[in-house]
Amino acid sequence: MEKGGRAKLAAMLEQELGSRSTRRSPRPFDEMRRFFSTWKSKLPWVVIIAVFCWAVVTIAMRRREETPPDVVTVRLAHWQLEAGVRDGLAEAAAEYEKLHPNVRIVQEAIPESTYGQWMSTQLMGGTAPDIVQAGMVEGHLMTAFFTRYFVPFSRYVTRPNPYNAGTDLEKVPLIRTFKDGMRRSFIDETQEFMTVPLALTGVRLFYNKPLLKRLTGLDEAPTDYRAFLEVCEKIRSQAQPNGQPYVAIAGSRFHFARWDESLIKPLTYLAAREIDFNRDGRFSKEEMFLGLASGKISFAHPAYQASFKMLREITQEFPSGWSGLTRDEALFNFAQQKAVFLATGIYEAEGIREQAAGKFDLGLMDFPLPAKSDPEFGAIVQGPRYENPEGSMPMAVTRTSKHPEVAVDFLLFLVSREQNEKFNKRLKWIPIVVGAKIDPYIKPFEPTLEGVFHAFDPTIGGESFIKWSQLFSLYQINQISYDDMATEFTQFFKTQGMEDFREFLRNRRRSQIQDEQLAVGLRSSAQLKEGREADADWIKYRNVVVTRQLAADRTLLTEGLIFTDPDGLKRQSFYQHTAKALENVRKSLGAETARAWERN
Amino acid sequence: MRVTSKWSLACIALLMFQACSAKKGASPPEQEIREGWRNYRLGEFNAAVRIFQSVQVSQPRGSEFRLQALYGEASCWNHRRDGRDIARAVVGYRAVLEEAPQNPLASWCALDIVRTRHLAPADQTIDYEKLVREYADVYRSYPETLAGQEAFLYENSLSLPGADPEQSRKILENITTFLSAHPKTPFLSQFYGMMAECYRKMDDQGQRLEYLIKSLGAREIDPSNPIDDRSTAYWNIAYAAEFEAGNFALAREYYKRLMHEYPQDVRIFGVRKALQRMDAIEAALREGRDPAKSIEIRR
Repeated sequence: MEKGGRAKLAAMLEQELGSRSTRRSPRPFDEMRRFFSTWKSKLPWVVIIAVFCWAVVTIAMRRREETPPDVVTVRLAHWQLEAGVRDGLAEAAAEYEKLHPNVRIVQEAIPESTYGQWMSTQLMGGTAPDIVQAGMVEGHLMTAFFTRYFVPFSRYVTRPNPYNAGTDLEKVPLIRTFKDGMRRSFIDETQEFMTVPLALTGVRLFYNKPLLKRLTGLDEAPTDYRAFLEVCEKIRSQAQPNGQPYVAIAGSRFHFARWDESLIKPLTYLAAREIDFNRDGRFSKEEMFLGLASGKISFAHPAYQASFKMLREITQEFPSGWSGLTRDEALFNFAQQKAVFLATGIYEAEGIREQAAGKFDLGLMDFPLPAKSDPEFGAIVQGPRYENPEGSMPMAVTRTSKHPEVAVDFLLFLVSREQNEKFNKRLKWIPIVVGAKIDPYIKPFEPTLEGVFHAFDPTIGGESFIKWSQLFSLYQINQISYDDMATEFTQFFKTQGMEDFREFLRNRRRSQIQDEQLAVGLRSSAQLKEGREADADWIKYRNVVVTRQLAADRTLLTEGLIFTDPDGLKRQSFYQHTAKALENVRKSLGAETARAWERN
Repeated sequence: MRVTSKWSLACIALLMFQACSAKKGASPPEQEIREGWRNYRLGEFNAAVRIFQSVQVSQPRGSEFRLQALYGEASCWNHRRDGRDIARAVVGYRAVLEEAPQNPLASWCALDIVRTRHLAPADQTIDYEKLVREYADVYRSYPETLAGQEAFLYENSLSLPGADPEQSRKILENITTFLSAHPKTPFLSQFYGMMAECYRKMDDQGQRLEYLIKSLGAREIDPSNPIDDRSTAYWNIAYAAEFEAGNFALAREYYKRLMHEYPQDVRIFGVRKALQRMDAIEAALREGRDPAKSIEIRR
């Protein structure tokens, strides 16, 4: 066996040596063939590496071109792709660069549909631009982002804006130079001002003036709701050159929401006083749930009935199949002069103007309100709707910014009176800075600060949210009657809705745990500091304890009554003068009044 | 060449000296504690726990930094969203209480132990009556501390919503006694607000209004936050004065304050309606008409 094995090994060695000797004496062209064969297999890698190197060099050179070594580059990202915004920002950046030649502002406009994801990735990866438009993600996520990835703006809000020098705002603290008092900029969870808004927005009704004149003989659209509906009927009764009827209101799911917020839902205002369980003069969806579940209010409330009736009337003036149309399709119908009216926000004003330029004159009006004498809605309508004047386009400076002080300075520049006026004039938006002139064209967009709010929101979450969405969608397209929708939803709300509300309250408790982290964080900060700094943190700490923790306990205990004492909730009354109160008023009016009262 | 190297050595020595002196301002454990809390605030709980644990190991039992680190770690286990471990948190709080019952942190630990039960996972039912007793125990144990005062605040705020007039009277007495012992408590505004609520339940509208106004006057102002929103406080006083106390003069005063100081508030429309409504009621009363019919004016 051993002998045989050795013989095999010897044969193998001989074979191996033989092959080596073959390699030692190559045939002609073998070397070359082998060389090309090796390169052939490696060629793709060579190409990839070469392209990569070329790309790196090109990008590096371009970056160097864009940002020479002695230049500070501030990148700014936003999702406003509407007409004018990018130009407006570019113009402001150019002005800023004139003042600060060593600074270059580069903007990145990211589409709305991907902005949230994009921003999250950039922030988490530490590659976010210096300035970011804050939003397009869930509120709780944005709050977490504010804590981790953004620089607080608080220390600037009490100081004057240096770019307001030479104006009457020269010595005015920044916060007071904003029309909205920077209310939305203050983030409770961080107890800091985190954002700087650049503009105000609003929603109004555009109309095609010559088309209106041609179809109805009117120069201006009627501002009374009933007259407006009549005009819509008249428009609908006439045919386009292709034989199709004209559309009164360019509609889509997006545009329906504008009508709903601005005209239809505010009709529910009167219901608020029936369900203001915490008597704070506001409406909340919890109160709506408590009202419906306890039976204190129902869909039979005249304000709710009126609102849903109006919805039917308005959507009749939309094109057929409107709920399947997109925002762009509705805009297209309006631009193609197939529809007379279009409800949309100020953010589209410039785009619409560009579309109409040279084709037709645009009219701009507020939503037509029913008159007090209106046979159906006169008793229900209370006034115009309230429009919250909160700032839009909130910009924030990221922690990863290499030049946060320059980023902040550029934002201060943008919210100086002069620049904010110019910037918004270019965008055709409403300036947010006090005293900045508004473009006359968008004057009708100025928010209505005294008006009614809506008191209808059955979206307490979970299954009832889905149920409501389904029924409401059916109602919008006339597939279910109001009574059937009301019966089906109320039944669902009183059963499954109770479970959803339980979960809603559990979420409140979950928030309390998060707020406790904030509170203890502030407390620890206060304990590690001294003097005024410590005092400020203690005050913030107590603010969280009082406004978040104690308030949440109160809410949990009072709203939890729906499970233990629904009748008690139903018995509560609000906005009713007690007999004792009226007696006190009578007494305070004096003896004469008392005599008159006794006489009668 | 020799001169250059000498200069280099001198520079390095200077740099080292500066580096050493820079650290003199704060001792390493103090810095670590600060860093731990910084991570806690950012929600980086794993990093915070690691830091707090390393301080615990490096510091002697009962020392200030060790107690702070124990407390910091317990807070991380208590408040982290992912992997919250209440039992471990309570162990940490108890360790502080055992190692240094007289330390200022002890009262906060006692409070936080009760808070763990108050802020139990959302799927657990809370025994509010037991909680009220536990908060009362904390106050009794640490009456002169901020934590004790806060415990007293929680004790009463949990008792009040379900209290009947008799229980409200008891709460009112407790708060009055507390305020005589702690007239400068930072929660003065909240206690006045609770007293107002007690008076509401006892149907003493005059006292209710008085304490609502006192509560407003005692509000703490954060100098670093220029937004001091009093609009809801104004509304509450005006509402109580109009509908429940029948003090229209006071109601007008506070409705108008709301209108003038917060012209952008969502309730301004309602305020204007309220002013019209009160005028109409007074006119009806002057003429001897039934004001109930005039209340239709509110629509």
